[in-house]
Formats: sequence, structure tokens, C-alpha cells
Amino acid sequence: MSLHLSQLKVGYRPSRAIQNLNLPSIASGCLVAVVGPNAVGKSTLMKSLAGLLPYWGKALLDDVELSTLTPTQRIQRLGYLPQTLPQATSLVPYEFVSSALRVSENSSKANLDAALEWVFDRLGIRALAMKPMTQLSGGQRQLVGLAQVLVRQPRLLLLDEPTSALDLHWQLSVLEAVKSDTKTRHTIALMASHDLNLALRFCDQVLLLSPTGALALAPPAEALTPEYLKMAYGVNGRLEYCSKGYPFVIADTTWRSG
Amino acid sequence: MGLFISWLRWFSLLALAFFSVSTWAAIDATDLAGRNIHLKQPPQRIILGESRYLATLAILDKDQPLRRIVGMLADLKQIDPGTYRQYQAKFPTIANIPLVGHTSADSFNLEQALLLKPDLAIFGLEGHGPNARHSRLISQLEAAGVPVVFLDFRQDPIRNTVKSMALLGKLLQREEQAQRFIDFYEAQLARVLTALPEKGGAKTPTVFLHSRVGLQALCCETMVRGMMASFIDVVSGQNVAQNRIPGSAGVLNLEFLLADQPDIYIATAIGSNAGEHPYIVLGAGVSESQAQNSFDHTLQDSHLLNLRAIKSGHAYAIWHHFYNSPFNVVAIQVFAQWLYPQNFQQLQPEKTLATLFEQFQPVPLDGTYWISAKVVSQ
Amino acid sequence: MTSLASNRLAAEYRTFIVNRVLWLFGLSLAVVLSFLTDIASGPANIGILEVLSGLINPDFLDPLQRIIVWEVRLPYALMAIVVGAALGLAGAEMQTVLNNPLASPFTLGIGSAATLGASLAIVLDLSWFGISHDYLMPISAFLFACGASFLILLLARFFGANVQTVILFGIALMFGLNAVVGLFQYAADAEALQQIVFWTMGSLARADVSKATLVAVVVLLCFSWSLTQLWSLTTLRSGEEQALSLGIAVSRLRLVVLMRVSLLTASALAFVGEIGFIGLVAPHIARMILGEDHRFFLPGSLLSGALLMSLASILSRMMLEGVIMPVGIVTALVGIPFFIFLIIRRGREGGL
Repeated sequence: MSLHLSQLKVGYRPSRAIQNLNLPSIASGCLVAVVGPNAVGKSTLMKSLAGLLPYWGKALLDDVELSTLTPTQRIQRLGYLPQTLPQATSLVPYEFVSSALRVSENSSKANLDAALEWVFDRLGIRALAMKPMTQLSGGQRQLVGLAQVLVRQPRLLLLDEPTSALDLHWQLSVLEAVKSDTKTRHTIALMASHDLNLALRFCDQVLLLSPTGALALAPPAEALTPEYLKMAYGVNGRLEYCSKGYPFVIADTTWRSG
Repeated sequence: MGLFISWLRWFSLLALAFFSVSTWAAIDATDLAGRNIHLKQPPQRIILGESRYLATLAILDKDQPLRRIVGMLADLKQIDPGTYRQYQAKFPTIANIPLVGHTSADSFNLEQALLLKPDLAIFGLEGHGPNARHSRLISQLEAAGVPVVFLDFRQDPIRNTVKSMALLGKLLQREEQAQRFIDFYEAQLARVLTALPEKGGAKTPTVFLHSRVGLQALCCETMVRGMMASFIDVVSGQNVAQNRIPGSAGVLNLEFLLADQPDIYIATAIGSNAGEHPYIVLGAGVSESQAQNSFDHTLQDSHLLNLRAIKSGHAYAIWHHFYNSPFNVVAIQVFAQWLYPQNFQQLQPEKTLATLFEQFQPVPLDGTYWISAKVVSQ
Repeated sequence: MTSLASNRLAAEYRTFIVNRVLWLFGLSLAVVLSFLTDIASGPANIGILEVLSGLINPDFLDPLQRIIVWEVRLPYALMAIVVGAALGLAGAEMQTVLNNPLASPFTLGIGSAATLGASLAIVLDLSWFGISHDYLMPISAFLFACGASFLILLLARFFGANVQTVILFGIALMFGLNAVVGLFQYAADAEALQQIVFWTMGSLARADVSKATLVAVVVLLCFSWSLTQLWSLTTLRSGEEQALSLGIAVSRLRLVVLMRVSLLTASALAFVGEIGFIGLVAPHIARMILGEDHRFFLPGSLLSGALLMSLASILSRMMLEGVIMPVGIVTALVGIPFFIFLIIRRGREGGL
């Protein structure tokens, strides 16, 4: 399985979010962090691939053009987590997740129950399952939203800022869950994020977007070089390694050209 | 110097003449709202808060009832088109009288009214036009030098009809004519009052007054205070809605009527044109057969048919606008006869109405103003 | 993923379901009881047993009682139930698709449109093709209500059916329509004005069994139709983007639901006049006791609406013996304090 993006344009004219994206093929089992400054088109890219916005060019998943998928095929293969948090309604997470499953699948009740059981365990949010969403924190709701995506076990995960509302514990926990999902089920995950260090820590590849286009799709250490950081974010930064050998980004000063 | 004296002489003569004329012409009275009215001279330009008062004015000025009217509301034409057509046939200029409003106080256009330079505004204590509660409008009119006078044939018709007519006679300097009407009215009313049995006696019939039949598909609107409810009271009838409905009118539960079974059913007719279903058609220009048809049509397929009063032929309909007219004495006589037929065999309300039209109206009596339902066989 | 583990959450949720089913059952029971109370109370003292026997076998009652039970009380009580159900269902669906707990058929001007239709029939004193005035008023009200919803749908479709667009169009439409109704009232003569006023007060007394049956059929059809979209509606409560990502055509869903809401509202209001608050309050009651799983929320709101309306119907005839208060006034009087209570509660708890 692979995801192949070429000559991809997303967003509307005249100022398309992404003009011409050509990437090497992304292999299954790969967790890709999509990083870049604000307004560079991360969310637009996610939405376009998820089928909520149009795109132009090629986006092939297993050699099938995403835009040609029927809605049913699309929700079987793609799981999209929007940046906006799920609403605080009087639904309980169990219903919240199961309704997503019912809408998209025609499986037996036993299978549905099992899938629900699995996802609540996977994300470690079993204790929340029967509490109304109104009583959950923003972060907890974000987890439930993620459960809604993961429960369908899609081939391609498109996660838009999945950790934005989470504390440290849950950030790691979610990333571990997503990473292990990509590894065990051989899926592909694209995760838009502002947190470079989290990306470095968990991702196999980093897709660095800059206002002038994609700068790199490469392993973290190769993508987040001082040169690229300067071009993408306009900062003087460097990659350091901690005592355990994990890389992390330190931004020193802002940088102005000229 | 001689010139000056002759000027002085002329001036004092003029002043004297003016003074004497104005004292002779000034009118003071108390209206039906208990307000003091002071008119410097007899009114010549009158605004009517209800054009249904035209017929009232005609009682005092049979030949030229429209002479002093400079503006009015549109209620006569809208609500009682039968009478309006009669007047229009005799006085085509009625259509040229400027309208100062539609059929409600809210539609009263003060500016339009003032442009007509009225010297008197005649309003009703309550009703469709501006009433005694519109204090701002009243003070505006008075500030503009237009005296406002209130009449009433509706809130307390039995007591206020005579007072209203006397007041109007005084204001319009038609006291003699007003007195003639009042004498006739009181005599006719007395014919009822003197022959009535005691109220509350064993034989007091219960009456259901079904107001404005057909106005709403729902059953059953009725009146309990003032208006036609007063007629039931004055003829010693027991209004079944009495003490049930707060205010002056309301909707009775049909089931209550079916369970309680009033002795007499009286409907009020608000239709004016034949075939105007679902209203009962009565009033000027309506033939007896048209009236009968409309009444029968109304009762057809109605649950009211289960009222014993209707089955047994104690069901009647009356022209709705008697409730706001000095001719209410006719309705009172009719009610008296319906409630106590044996006490009032001699009474001839149709003759009373005919006399009223003949002596006090510029238009002839031409129409049916009340009717009995045909007895429905079980 | 052992089967034992997989039973745990499902089992836990089952107690939830059982609870809600019980609530639904309780609500249904309350509706039935209220209906029976409604039909058994009135100035003519007919015992509840007699009424019940009379309903099963009309010959049990004497002719007058038969008329009272079958022709006076039954239509009134039935109409209350079906109109309440229609408004409750319409309100629930509307609040979901507009994602707004303050939405109701009246917020979007559908109620005002019905009033305009009725006013038009009253003022112009129309009688087409020999249809009697009695039926023409509801027909005209229905056509106008449908027209108003169609206009909203059209505008929303043209400019994008997002929530704000629909609500703003609706509010603009409501004010516009109210102005036109005002114009009609101005032009109306006193009798017509009275009729319009009575219409806006709402009354069940215009009911008869055939009208109630008609509304009941519409409620049944619309409810069955909404059953096919239960999961989509529940998922829509997660959020619009979430629903979109799950392949739900949200705009289309919104249009279909608004169409259904118009149909329900128009047919209910056509026969009883303006009755507010039921469409607003019933969904809140259902949400409080049943949550927002639409499998329970929709029938719950339908039943709450029916119950509220039935209670209002009882109250409207009990407040003054022998007298009928317009039921619209009663629902509003009962509804306002309740609604304020809900708002306060909502303010304390936060969230929708």
C-alpha cells in the first residue's frame, strides 16, 4: 500500500494553499508529520485528501485516485480527524463513536461492539465512555474524536492537529496509539502538527511545507535542518540531541531576510 | 378726534355683538365619560370615531345627516355594508367623506383628522374607533382645539342610550328632536319593563347568546357584560355564561352547553350579503328568505343541533349591530318576546322598528333584523 | 480483544438503553394518561369508565353523551396529541440540523408564514372552487408555510446551506412576514381582525377527527422517514466537520430535514393556529432525560410534545369551568417559565 501525491494543487485560486506538490511515494506503515508555518495549507491539504474540498492533480492511494472514490469507498479507506473539536453535546462517547460506525458500516452488532471495545482500550479512555460529552474537557473530547476515526480502522489516517488540546501525557499516549496503529495494521497516517518535537519523536517522515512550496519529505533529521527551518518558519534554529539520543528542535531567534 | 370717537363707537358695538353672540352660542355639557365639554359655538365640522354613529346623527338631523360630517372611520362600510348601501343610495356624497382611519383606533390618522379642521370629535366609550382609553389622542385633539365628546350605546346600553341622545341633542342644538326620540324610546322600553316577571323566579329562562356566529370555526363565543348581554339582563333572562367568563366576552366550551342545555339560543348575525357563509345574514337589504336560509345553513351539520333549545324551536338570530345603536330598544323588545312570549303577546317590535325608521331615519326600513330557526325534527 | 472484554462496554451501555427505553415507555404512558384525563374531564360529568366504554362501544352512551365524548372531547384531545407530536418532532429535528438549541419552527418564520396564509384567507374572504372557508384557511396557511420553507431552502441552497445562513434567512423572513401580517391586520375590518387575532392565539377547538387524522398521518410519515436518518442525525451532533468526514452529505441532510419540518409544522399549525413553545421546549425535555441518541431523542421529543400539548389542552378547559381558553395562550404561559428554567440550567451546566 502506498500514497502517491504528484502535481497536487489544493485550495482555490488565486492564492492556492498549495500550488504544486510532488512527493515521493509514501509507504504503508509510515507516520508522516505535516509541519509548516501558519496558513501554509496543512489543513487544506488534509481536507482535500479527505474529500471535503476539491483538489487538482494526482492523489493515488494504492493506485486509486482519491477523487474517484464513492463516499462509501472513501469512508472505508480514509479516516479524517478535523481540527475542530467535537461538540459538547449530551451524547456519551460510546454513542458518539458507535454512531460513526453505524453510519459507515453494515457490520454485525458483535463486530461493532468489538470494534468499540477495542478503540476505547486502544486510546485508554474506557473510563469516559458513558459520561456525557458536556462533562468532558476539550482534550477528552479530542480523544473521543480520535476514537471516532480510529474505530473504523481506515487505511489512511488524516489527522489535523490531533494533540492540540491534550496535555503531555495524552499527547504521548495518542501518538503512541497512532504510531502503533500504522505499524501493526500497515496503514499510513498524515498528521498535521505545530509541535515539531512531538513530530520528531514519533514520525517516520516529516513533510515540511513552506509558503513557497514543499521543502522536504524526509526523515525528521533531514527535513528539519537549520536551512529549512529558516526557509519555512523564518527562525534561526537547530537540531540537537538529548541525552537519550532523541533529536529536538531549538529555535534561537527570529530571522529576517536581508 | 371726531373720527376717533366714531371708531370707538363702531368698535364697542362690534365687541358687544361678538360677546353676545358667543355667550348665546356656547354650550356646556358632561359627556358619557364624565368629562366636561365646552363648545364655543355649535359644531359645524364633526369627526365621527365610528361611522356607525351616522344613523344616530340621522335621528337628530333626518334630512341632512351628513351635513356636518367632515371625516369618519370606515367601520360602517366595512362592518355593516347593508346600512351603508342604504345611506349611499339616498346620500351619494357619503362616499366623498374623507376617511380618518379604518376600523380601529390604531388606524386613526390624527394629522388627516386635524387637516379637516373639525370643531368636534364624537367617539364611543368603547368600540372600534378611538375610545376613552386613548388619552394621548384625546389630549392631542384637545390641544389642537378640537373638543372630544364620548357617547355610549354599548358599555351600558340601557342607561346610556338616553343620556347619549340627550347629550347629542344639546351639542348639535337639536334638543327638541332628541327629546322626541327619547320619549319614544322610554315609552317602548317601559312597555317591556312593566310587564316583566321577577328575575330569578322559577320560570327565568336560561339563555345562550352565541355571538358573531361563523366568525371562528370554533364554538362558542358569547358576551357576558354590556352589549347584548345587557339586553338579556334587562329582560330578566339568565345568561348561561354569566360568572363564567372574565371580561365582557369569551369562548364557552360546547360541552358545557350540551351538558347544561340552555332554554333559549340567540345567535347574533354579522353577515350582510346573501350567501355569505358561514355567517347569518341579517340587516338592511336582507330578505326574510335569505335570512332564513343563512340561519338554517349555519345550524346544519353543527353540533349545536344537539341543543334542546334548537330542537324545540327556541333558537333565534338577531342583527348584531343592535348592540351599538340607539335602536337597541327594538332588540330588547324582541328578546322580551322570545324569553316570555306569554307576557308580551301585545308587543310588536316590528312595529317599533318601523316607527323608528319612519320618524327618525332618512332611509326606509327595508330588511330583516331578526329571525327564528325552523323547528328541527328529531 | 477477548469476548469477555468486548462485552463490558456493550453491557454497560445496555443499562443506558434499558433506562431510556423505560423513560420512553414512561413518557408514552404519561401521554396515554393525559389523553384519558383530557377525554374524561369536562363540565358534563361523565365518569372515566363510561367514557372508556363509550369509546369502545358508542352505544353504551346516551345520545347526548355520545356527542359530547365523540364529537366534542375526542377531536379536541386527539388534536392536542397529534399537534404536540408534530411540533415536538419538528423542533427536535430542527435543533439538530441547525445545531442550535434555540431553533424552532417559529424561529425560521414558518409559523409566521402560516399566520400570513390564514390572514390572507380571512381578509380576502376567499372561497375557491367551492371550498368552504373552514378548510380554505388551513389550506392557505399550509401553502404559505410550505412556501416560506421552500424560500428558505432555495436561498440556503443558492448561498450555501450552512447553519448561520439558514437561521439568518429564517429570522429575516420571520420579521418580513410579521410585517405583512401587520399590514393585513391594518387593512382588515374589525371582524377579520378578530379572526386573525384568534388564529394567532391558537385553539384546538377548530379540531375534528378527520383533521386530527390528517395530521396524525403526516406525523407518522415524517417520523418513519426520519427513522432512516437516525444515525446520520446522531452523528451530526458530533459536529459538522466530523459528520462530513464520515461521508454524511450534511447540506443535503439539512435540506431534507427542513423539508420534513415544514411539512410537520405547516400541517399542525394549519388546523390550530399559532402554538409556540412546544417545538422549542419539547426537544429540551427529551434531551434532558434521554440524551441525544436520535433513536431515543426523536421519539422522546415527539412524546414530550404530545404530552405538553395534551396537558395544555386539559388546562385550557379546566382553568375556567365551562370556558375554553385559547390553548396557544396556555402553552405560552406554561412554556415561558419552563423555558427560563431550562436556560438557567443550561447556563449553570454549560454546553449545548
